[in-house]
Amino acid sequence: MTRPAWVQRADRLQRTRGFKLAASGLIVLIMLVLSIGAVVRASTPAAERLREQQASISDTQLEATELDARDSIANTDAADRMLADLLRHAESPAGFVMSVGVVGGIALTIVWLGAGLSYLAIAGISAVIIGPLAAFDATRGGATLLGGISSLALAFTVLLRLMQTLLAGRGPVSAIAANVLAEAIRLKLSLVFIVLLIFGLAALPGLLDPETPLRYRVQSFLQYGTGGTFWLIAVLVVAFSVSTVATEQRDKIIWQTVTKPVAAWQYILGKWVGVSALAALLLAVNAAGVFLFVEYLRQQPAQGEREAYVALNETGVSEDRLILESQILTARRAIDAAEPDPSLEQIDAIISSRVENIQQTQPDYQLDPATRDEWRKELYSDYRLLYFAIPPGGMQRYVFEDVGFGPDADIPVTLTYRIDAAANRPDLQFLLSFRINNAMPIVRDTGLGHAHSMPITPALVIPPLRGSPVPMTVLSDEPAFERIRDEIRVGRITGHTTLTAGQLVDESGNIVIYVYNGETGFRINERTGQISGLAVNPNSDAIRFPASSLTISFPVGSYHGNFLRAVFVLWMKLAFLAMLGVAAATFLSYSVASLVAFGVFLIAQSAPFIKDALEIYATVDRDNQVNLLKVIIAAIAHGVSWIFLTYGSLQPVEKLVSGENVSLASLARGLSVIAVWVGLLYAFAVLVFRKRELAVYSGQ
Amino acid sequence: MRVAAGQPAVPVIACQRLSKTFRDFWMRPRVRAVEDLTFEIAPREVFGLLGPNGSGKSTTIKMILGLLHPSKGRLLVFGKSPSDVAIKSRIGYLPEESYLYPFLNARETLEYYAKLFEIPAKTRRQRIDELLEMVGLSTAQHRPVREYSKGMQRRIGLAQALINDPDFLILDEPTTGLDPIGTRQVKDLIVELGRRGKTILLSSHLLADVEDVVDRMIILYGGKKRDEGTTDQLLTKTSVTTIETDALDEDTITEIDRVIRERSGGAQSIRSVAHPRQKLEEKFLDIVEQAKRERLDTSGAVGDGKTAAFLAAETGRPVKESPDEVLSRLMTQDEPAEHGAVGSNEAQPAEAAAGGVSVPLDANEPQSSQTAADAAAKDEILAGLLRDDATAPAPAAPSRGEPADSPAAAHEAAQEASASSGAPSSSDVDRGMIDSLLGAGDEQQDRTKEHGT
Repeated sequence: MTRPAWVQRADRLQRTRGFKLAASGLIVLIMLVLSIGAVVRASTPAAERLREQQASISDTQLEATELDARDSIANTDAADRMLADLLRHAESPAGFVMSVGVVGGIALTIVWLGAGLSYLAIAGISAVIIGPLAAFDATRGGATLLGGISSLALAFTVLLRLMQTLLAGRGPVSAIAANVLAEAIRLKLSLVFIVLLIFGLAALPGLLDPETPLRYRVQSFLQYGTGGTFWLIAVLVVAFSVSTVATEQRDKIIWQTVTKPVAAWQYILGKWVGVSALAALLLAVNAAGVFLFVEYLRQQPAQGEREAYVALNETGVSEDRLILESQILTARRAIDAAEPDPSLEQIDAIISSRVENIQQTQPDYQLDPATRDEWRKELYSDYRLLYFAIPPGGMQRYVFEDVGFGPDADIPVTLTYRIDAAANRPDLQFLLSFRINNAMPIVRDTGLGHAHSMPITPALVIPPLRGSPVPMTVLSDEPAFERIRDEIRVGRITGHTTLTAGQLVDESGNIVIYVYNGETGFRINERTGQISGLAVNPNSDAIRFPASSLTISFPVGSYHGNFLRAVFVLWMKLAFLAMLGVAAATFLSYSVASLVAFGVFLIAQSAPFIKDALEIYATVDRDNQVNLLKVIIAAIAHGVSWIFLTYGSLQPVEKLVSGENVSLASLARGLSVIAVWVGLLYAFAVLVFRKRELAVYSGQ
Repeated sequence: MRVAAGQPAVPVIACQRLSKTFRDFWMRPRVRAVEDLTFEIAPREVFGLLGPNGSGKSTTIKMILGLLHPSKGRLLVFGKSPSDVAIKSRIGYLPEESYLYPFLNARETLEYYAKLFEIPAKTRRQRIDELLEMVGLSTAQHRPVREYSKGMQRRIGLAQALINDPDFLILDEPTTGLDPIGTRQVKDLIVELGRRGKTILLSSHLLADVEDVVDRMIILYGGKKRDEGTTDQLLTKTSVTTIETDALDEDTITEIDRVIRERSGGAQSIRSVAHPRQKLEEKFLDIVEQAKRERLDTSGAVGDGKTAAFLAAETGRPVKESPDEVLSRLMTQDEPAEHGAVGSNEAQPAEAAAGGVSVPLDANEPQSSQTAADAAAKDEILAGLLRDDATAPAPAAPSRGEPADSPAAAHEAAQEASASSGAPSSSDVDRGMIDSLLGAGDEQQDRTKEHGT
């Protein structure tokens, strides 16, 4: 079927250099106008004032001092400054400019692939179909879904063509890699996954409940948009990397490749590059979709907001927005409470005492070195358990070392914690008290067995009330916080200060927090009626902080950078899986290689869990006899967890969802470990491939 | 076969006491596919590997290609180990079945294999166009290979084997799955490529295919070599003479029989007389040609099988000329400077041939006015002129040309073989008498002269 003449003319036109240059110029111009517009809008004095209002800077203060916006920010208290900063980051044009960059980049790619008019026509046709659907409430959901699918499919085809262009060079590696891409999009196995991915991601926004707080919607979308798609792509990568090598051998197609001047290292590398390129392609499409939709969600009103970034009461920041911007759409560094460090002398003293006790009944008893080591380990473990356990009414001091900021810092710091107690009954709530400064401890209702968080800075510290000997700390997430700020504004409360992050840091650069197992209050001297000290109303049971469940965190970077780093980590993990599948298929059949690759993948993912489980895995039976089978299992599990711990510990989605920083250091560590593994698997695959006989006996 | 002057005659394949034993999971010998096999393939030789199914042909080829490792013995390809990647840029391989990526179309398939050879884009496009034209798949080039018939898949398989213009072409059962046209085209192609100086290893159990095209062959059975030699050495029956003429009446046949009896003293006579039947292949090709003239549609391969131009020999490589080319050159009296091998080793036959050709032809007459019959006759004459055994320095160099296509030429080859042995056979004497009996024209007489009878 020949195309109409006008289509042919249009096709020729879109391939000309002149058209590409003109279209690129137009796109760049639009990008510049939009970006500059956003920057200008964000930096106008009016906008500054609006944000200041949003940040609860007193109008009266502004009028009285007649300072310009910049100075007024400097003169407000730390809480106001922090909130103003927070909103400046949140409302900064960076997100918008990056979104413009993503869309503009795709548009430029389309133009230079010589398909500018074609895609413009497709977009026009899509708009004609979707537009009327979007006009009615009943069909709006469908329109959104169709729009999402067509946008993602369009982005996929564009990036696919870009990838094919990049791999179009001559030479075995690029030829094999390009062939793998062609195979991926033309065979049912991978096509099903690709369609599923695009459909799933496009349908995801429709599953978000608009009634739930914005932060939960954003977290859910990030979780399923990046985490869900990673698992789907991971399954595809494993299945496809095995398939592309194993079926080629089974069907003998490989004969016609390896009888050409293609070395084993080129063949394996080509296959890996092809599958990794496919993973990058799918990840890029999904990441672009997730990024743009999160930016869209961010611009929606949060709970307690009249419109985005404007609270219902016109002043302050809604709790939903505050948590979203300070804890989720950010990059926070997390520091666990330091492990106890008992001295060896202390432990050996306990051991000596224990030996003496034994020698009283068995005078000939001598402690052998193996038993001494075992006791040391056991005592250290007990010590650690005791350190992170607090009896009812008891108190423990926890240190968060080397926080990395100084006394001038006024960044938001969040304490995250989880306690285990009373078999974690869901119907029980414990009251815990936290002393973070020289004020009254903060009392919190705490459910058992699940995580809680509280923003410990900035906080208001108000003077002692009603005869209290110590000031009181009010955290920003407490209902009283806004009321007290109102009181401060109108002058009914004076002498308040703001607790900043810098004030928590001691001379050693550490932050110390005291935790009480119970509700703290004042002890009243019955005789004098005066406050005589701190009393604790104990909970019914001892509490314990499991490993890494008592953490402080604070922002060290932006969400955008964090997002890119998280996506890169995901790609690294997929690239490892691609080499794993290719290597397994060099010497195993499709089904066996798939099983092996999936098995290793799941083990690698769960390596941190295996490590934790091994701590309580006993290799002796009840009668204290060593169970050989359990010893072997433990040895294998130890090996596996050691090998894959770094890989398994790379959990960028969890970090992204909880707003934790995917640090460059962890990125570099993960990259180096994965690079070593990929290199080892590659060397193994090449060696196997060179030694293998690719043909089989075909006679009778 | 010829070897270029000054070039060491490194065999393309040197195989010594080669064995291959397949073992089971427990490493117990299961099948001895090849045993103690020794042979060589010289450059520019069309070599046949014959044998029934399971005789070890494919196993031998797979060892040559490095797809299997020999259990014992020594195997060199272009003087190097089969696992050496560099030598593979000089090899083209058509497997016994076409193993192609089902999701690619014909053009993409050739594009992929061309990239493996790192052929520049412009050359790549040109070669792909020519090869698609050659195998008749130009019109079907954008259809996925999985939709192709078996024959079409063989054709694209053949095209990929030629994409790098290989020095050494390995064809494993190349005509399997092809229709008679395709079979004929493949055989023509092999002859043509051989003429252009390619070394070809042809493996087949279809004896007619091999017989038509190879210079030399080995016959395998049970993994062992049973026989080896040139086609003539293996196939010529010197105890029987076949004469093909226009239809004869009973009297003439009786007369011929009488002459034979007289000259042999009654010991020899005509054994049988029959009218040769047209080969089914020829009949089939006639029908297809007729259909093409009537422009009937077909969804299959369409093409004239004309060899792709890029497959021409490299500059400086000795090239075998077609009879027409030699004829043209002789007629224009060009000096055969670049083709010194022709007639240089054995000046006498070449001179005789030149005289034999020049006498009946008018040098002033335009060549285009020659009839097809004339051209065919000249081809026959020149086929004799170009016989490789007239110039080859080694016994491994067999005769080539088109002996099987022309019974007369086959007969001449037999005569020549007898002549070179120094023992005049009865057929040498009979030829002149038969010609005179049949009232043969000048052409036959010239041919008689040419062979010195």
